[in-house]
Amino acid sequence: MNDRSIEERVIYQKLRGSIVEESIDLSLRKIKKQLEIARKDSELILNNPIVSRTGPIGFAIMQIKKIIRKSVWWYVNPVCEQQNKYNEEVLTAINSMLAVLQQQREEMKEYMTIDNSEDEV
Amino acid sequence: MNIGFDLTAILGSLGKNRGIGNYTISEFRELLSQDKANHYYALNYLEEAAIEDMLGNPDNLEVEFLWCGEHHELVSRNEYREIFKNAVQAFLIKNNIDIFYITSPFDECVLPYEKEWFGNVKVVATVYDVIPYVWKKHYLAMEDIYNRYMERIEILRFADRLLVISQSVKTDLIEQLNFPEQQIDVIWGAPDKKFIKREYTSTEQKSLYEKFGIRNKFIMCTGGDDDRKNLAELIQAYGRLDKRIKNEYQLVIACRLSVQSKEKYNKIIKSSHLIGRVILTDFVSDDELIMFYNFASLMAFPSRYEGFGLPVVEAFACGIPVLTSNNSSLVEIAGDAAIVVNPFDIKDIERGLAQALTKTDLDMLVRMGTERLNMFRWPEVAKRVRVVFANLATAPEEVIRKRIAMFTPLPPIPSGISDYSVDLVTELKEYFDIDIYIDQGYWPEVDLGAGVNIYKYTEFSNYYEQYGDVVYQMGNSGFHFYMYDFIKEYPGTVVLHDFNLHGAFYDYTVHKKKDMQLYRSFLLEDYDEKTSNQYFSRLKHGNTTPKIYDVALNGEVTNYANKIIVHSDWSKERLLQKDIGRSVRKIQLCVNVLELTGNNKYRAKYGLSEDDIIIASFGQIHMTKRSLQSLNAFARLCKHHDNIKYIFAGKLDRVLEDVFFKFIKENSLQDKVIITGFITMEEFEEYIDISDVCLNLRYPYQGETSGSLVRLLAKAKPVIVNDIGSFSELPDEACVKIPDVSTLLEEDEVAAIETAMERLVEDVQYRQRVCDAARTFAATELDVKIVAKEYKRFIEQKRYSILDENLLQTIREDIIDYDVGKLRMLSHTLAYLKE
Repeated sequence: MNDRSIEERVIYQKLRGSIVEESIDLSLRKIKKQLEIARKDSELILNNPIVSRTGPIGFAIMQIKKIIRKSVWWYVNPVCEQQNKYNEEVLTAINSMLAVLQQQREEMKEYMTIDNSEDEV
Repeated sequence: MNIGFDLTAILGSLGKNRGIGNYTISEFRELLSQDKANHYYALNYLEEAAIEDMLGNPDNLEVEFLWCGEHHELVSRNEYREIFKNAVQAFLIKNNIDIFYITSPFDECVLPYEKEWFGNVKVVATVYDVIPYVWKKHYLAMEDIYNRYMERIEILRFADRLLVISQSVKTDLIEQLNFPEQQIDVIWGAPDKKFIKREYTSTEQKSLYEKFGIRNKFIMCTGGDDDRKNLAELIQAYGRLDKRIKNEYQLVIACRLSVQSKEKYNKIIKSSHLIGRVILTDFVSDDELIMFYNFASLMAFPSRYEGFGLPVVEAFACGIPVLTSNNSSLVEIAGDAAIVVNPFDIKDIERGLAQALTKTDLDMLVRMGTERLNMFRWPEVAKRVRVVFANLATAPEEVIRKRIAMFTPLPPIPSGISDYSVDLVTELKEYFDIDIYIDQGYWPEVDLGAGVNIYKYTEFSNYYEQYGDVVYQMGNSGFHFYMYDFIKEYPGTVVLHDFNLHGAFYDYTVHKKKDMQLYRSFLLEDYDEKTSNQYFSRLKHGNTTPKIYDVALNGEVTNYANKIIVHSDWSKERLLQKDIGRSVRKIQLCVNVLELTGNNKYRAKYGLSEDDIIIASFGQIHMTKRSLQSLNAFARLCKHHDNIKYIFAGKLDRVLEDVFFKFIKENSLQDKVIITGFITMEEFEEYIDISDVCLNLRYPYQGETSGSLVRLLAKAKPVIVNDIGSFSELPDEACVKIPDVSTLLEEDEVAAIETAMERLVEDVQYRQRVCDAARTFAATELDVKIVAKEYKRFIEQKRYSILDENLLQTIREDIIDYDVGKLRMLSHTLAYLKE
């Protein structure tokens, strides 16, 4: 860019700078939205109520399901708990990362408002 | 004269790789080669193309390419229309254009030119034809197409001259559209040089004949896929010819045809039992077309209407007889050298064909055609265009001398700007009558001669209406306080000698006006409310000191200026970063480049030997001038050199006093270091004269330029500077640059100064080279006469750029997906709008 005029360099910086900023903002918004969705499905729930509205046959099926659930509980429950714990940790970590990024983005915005001054005002 | 032209004819949709484009390329190739007295500037807003190559790489042509976005947004979108008006105006002003030539006003890519875009610039446009208007039922039946066409006609109305390519076009403009006859000049056209009679080998002929199914002799027709060309009627007329003639001659129609046209003509061919006799070649290359011209027995071109009828002259150039129409431009061009027919009468076309192929002395027609061609040569066309240009040249306008006001301190005010203004005004009064407005409390000890009046600033409001501009010489000191209110009330051109005016602003608001809220309002001119309040509150509660060096302020004056002059790219870049809408020009800090006196003239006066090598620093001895580090480097140098002395020509800053004297004593430099204290300007100049090596260092840098430095360069002194800010902008060969101190440890800084000093002390030839380059730079760039001319140009230049932060923001929203390359091209175009 050195062989370009001052005007051209400044306009380029302004256009490019803004585009980079906007694309960072857009990415941050997307990550936030995805996290929100992920958060809703992050917990595996084993004790959902088993119900049926189809009369006596339905009642029988319901009982069979309860038996199956009880018979595998000892095996499935620890895995689910482990998975829930893992999901929780990952989401917390990603949330923390997002917070750091957002904080940096805010600082960057502030930095831009004082015209790239390197000094504390 | 400077002649600008657009490239619509060459690159636009109507012209590119077509007749209009070829016409314009040939016209300009010839014009540029003939007309060395004028300079030509092409404005290209269409596509990147090797225009110089197309036009023969002439040395009197410059091409400006302004990219308009991936989808031509800057031209096609209504909200950006002003941008291209602005770009054309910038093009006219930057190249000082006298005549602007619109090469293809009916092209859909043409800019929506308006008279007001051009000011005093004369406008010329070529009109190839007004066939759509003459045949409007056929071509302009739809209202929006008609309206668009009439918008183009409006462009022609404000043109000073219209160049038309035949008398017929001129007649149409006068009779159909009521253009005045005296506005129109006929320049004619000509065939391209490649259309010539030439010999081909039998292999070449055979190859062409085989490719297109030609058996023996043939009649050819070329021109284009348009009903107006009368191809259907020609085929029918050919079909009516005697069978003997048809057996002898095929009909070859050599041009690109659409699918629909091919179907239509094939139907006629079939119904007229002409299969194998009529050949539709579709696209042919230029080489093939020229071969057709050379091998054909007759060129038949019975078009219903033509602006020029290029095929007729191409046939003349290739030495074949011509049959054409008895109307429009065709009959003018053909004269007696062709058989003419009524294009609306198939029988008459048939008659013409039969007459040409059976009863006419075709050799004679060919001879007459060749003679007629003399009228239709590109050198002749170019000569006619040059005559039009010459007639448009106007006598230079009488210059009306402007009166300007200038706010500046003058001697004896002890400021570099006082002396600067004296030098500048002495030259600037050649161009303007100047009234200088000074502060109260003193009267200048300077005679600026006739044409310059000096007033107290209190009188300004009585006279301000008579000024073409008000120039404010603005520096970072109390000598400029009186200007602040005027800049807001009477905006003009601010010359920003110091980028950072925080020191002066602080003194003015807090010390002079004793008004902290005023100081806060000054801060708000540069920083947002949150930032300003944060700092202001901390300052008010004693939690911080005034950050006059760290936080740059200038908005209080720059935000209200119409135009801003700075002395460095460094300052210009920062002002534009803050607001791209500003009109900022870098004009070098000026100096009087006078005869050199030599280094020895004043040495005896100051008790110095001619054998001594004098190292010197000028101005206040201060930390920011790296005085202590320079002294340290000098002390080291003294260990190897006996005959060197260091003069500090200026007053020692009180903060440095103790440490400075202590260092001198400890290093036994009393005999080698001279600190002059305050000296007069005359003494200052004499000290410069006697010095051999000079230092002008800075850190931290506040965006300043140095008056001492330009004086040193003008006196051909080798100067050591830091590679920082405006000092970086000096030519490398005209000074010695040491790194920016922010990147060095103190030990390294001292070593760098010592090395630079040592080389200049020891290597006499090197020192001389630097001296010569410094002097050349001062004479060619810094001389007050040159700078005064720059001032004149900038003061007289009207502001025209519409580019501001809002417009940039609007554009930015449309280009979010642009890559680096596209962004760069767009930045180039937008930068073109800036002065």
